[in-house]
Amino acid sequence: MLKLDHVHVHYGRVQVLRGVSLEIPDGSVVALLGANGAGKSTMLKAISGILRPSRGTIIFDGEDISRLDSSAIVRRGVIHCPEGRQVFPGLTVRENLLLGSYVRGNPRVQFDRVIDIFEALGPRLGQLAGTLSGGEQQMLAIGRALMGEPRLLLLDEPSLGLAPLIVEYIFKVISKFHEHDISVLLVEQNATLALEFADWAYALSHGQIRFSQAADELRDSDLVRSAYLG
Amino acid sequence: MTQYLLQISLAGLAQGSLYALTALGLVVIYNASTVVNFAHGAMGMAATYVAYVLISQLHVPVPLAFVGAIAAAFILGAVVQALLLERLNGAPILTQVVVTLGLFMFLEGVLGLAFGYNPRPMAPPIAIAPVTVAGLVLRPQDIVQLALLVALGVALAALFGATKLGLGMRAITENTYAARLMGIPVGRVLGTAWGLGVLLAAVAAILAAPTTSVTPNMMDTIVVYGFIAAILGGFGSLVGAVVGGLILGVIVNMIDAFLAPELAMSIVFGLLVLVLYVRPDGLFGRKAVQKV
Ligand SMILES: Nc1ncnc2c1ncn2[C@@H]1O[C@H](COP(=O)(O)OP(=O)(O)OP(=O)(O)O)[C@@H](O)[C@H]1O
Ligand SMILES: [Mg+2]
Repeated sequence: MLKLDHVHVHYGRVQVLRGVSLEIPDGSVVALLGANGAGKSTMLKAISGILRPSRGTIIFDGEDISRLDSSAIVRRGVIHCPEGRQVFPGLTVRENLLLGSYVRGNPRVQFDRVIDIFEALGPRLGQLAGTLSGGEQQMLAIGRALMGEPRLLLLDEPSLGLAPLIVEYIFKVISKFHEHDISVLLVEQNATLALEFADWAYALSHGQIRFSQAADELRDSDLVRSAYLG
Repeated sequence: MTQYLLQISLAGLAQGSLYALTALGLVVIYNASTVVNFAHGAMGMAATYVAYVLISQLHVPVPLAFVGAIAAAFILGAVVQALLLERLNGAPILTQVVVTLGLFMFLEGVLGLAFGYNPRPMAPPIAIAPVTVAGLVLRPQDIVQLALLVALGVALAALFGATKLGLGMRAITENTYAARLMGIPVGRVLGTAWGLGVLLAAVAAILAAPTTSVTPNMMDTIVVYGFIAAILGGFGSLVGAVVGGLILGVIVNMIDAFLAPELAMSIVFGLLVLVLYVRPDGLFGRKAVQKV
């Protein structure tokens, strides 16, 4: 479904991604692991058209999307749920959700579906997003991404700074995405958690893929874990 | 005496509606792009020249000429955003502000070169004699100005409150990065916001033209009052811009009538400082919503 081929990304003169190749099969959850500053968020931004690769191709459903703008990429069903949630703080929960379907037609059906998934948001539709708790904001961020009817969801550190119970809840939701034909690229600091839900994992360090392996093999391989994942 | 005060206030509200329209345009542009548009008045003035040329040189019917000028204003705003500001996206705000200052001088200079600095007359669009109601003289021009302010204010409220485009503009104001992630075509939406903002300046300028005449600097005073009105209202609030503009119009008219027109600007600035001292966010400024 998605294939990165030798993607390079620069911030000005600083190179952050150095020829990254990666593949996400249809209907799978792929984890992207790596230390702080490895370039994980940068890779997601390159896929979603926020940053333009200086070299390489990004093929989605057989089409090179690496030169498209973010609006065109969202319309194709590649939705990026960013690190740090990035809700619209001064807009209501309802408005935040509706913005998620900006490029879609009638949002009503999807809206009901999202409220069904994240019941906690239901009673807060009229509340400003900036006044939600961290966990609620993360639910809103994911719900807003779902409003865009993703076929591929790019999730950047959904567990960051959240209580274990909320993390568990959010990952239960993520584990059901494949039933709706949503593939996931999951960035996580918490490798144990990510490997529990992923089918396949890539490890990124200093802008390069160090290895990729089936998640269940990686789970059991103490050597690799201690060497790369801490 | 009360009759006289009422009369002055009424004329003040009419004059204030021009400040309010100017301020609304400034706020629409600022909210979307965080750029303070110092070329605002000049862009409205340029659109007035379009109307002037259409009417007195090409003999286009007046209503049609106004529509043409308003459309030209919209395009001018969108083009300036796309050609100048889109390029400067991410540049320090000061750079963008300097660009709008440069554009201000460029427009006044170019239109001065093309048409000279002699004021050119523009007939009021409606040539009806004033009517007297309950002892108050109502000038049709004043009524038109106030009615247009109300109509455009309601239209803006509907745009921001009830349309996808308006919601998109507010999203860009809140968090441009997240707006891009939603697939909002940020450049196009900003272009539309600039187009609308300059359109509002053009409406103000065209309404002012019968009084000020058409000159390259016809908007210089009005746009300063527009800025003050926007700041009074909290630079960001649409309601604030309207209320600020109307209050300012009444105050300026009172100063003109009871003191001296030369004092108006200094007294107004004094009042502005006073208001900001008491309420640093203006009359309707929201405290910036806590960032997450
Ligand atoms: N806008 C920017 N300009 C310059 N350098 C940047 C910019 N954004 C990120 N970088 C640099 O690029 C590198 C990779 O950053 P990135 O955010 O992709 O890391 P990450 O793997 O997501 O880290 P984390 O786990 O902390 O989120 C870092 O060294 C960072 O300093
Ligand atoms: Mg990151």
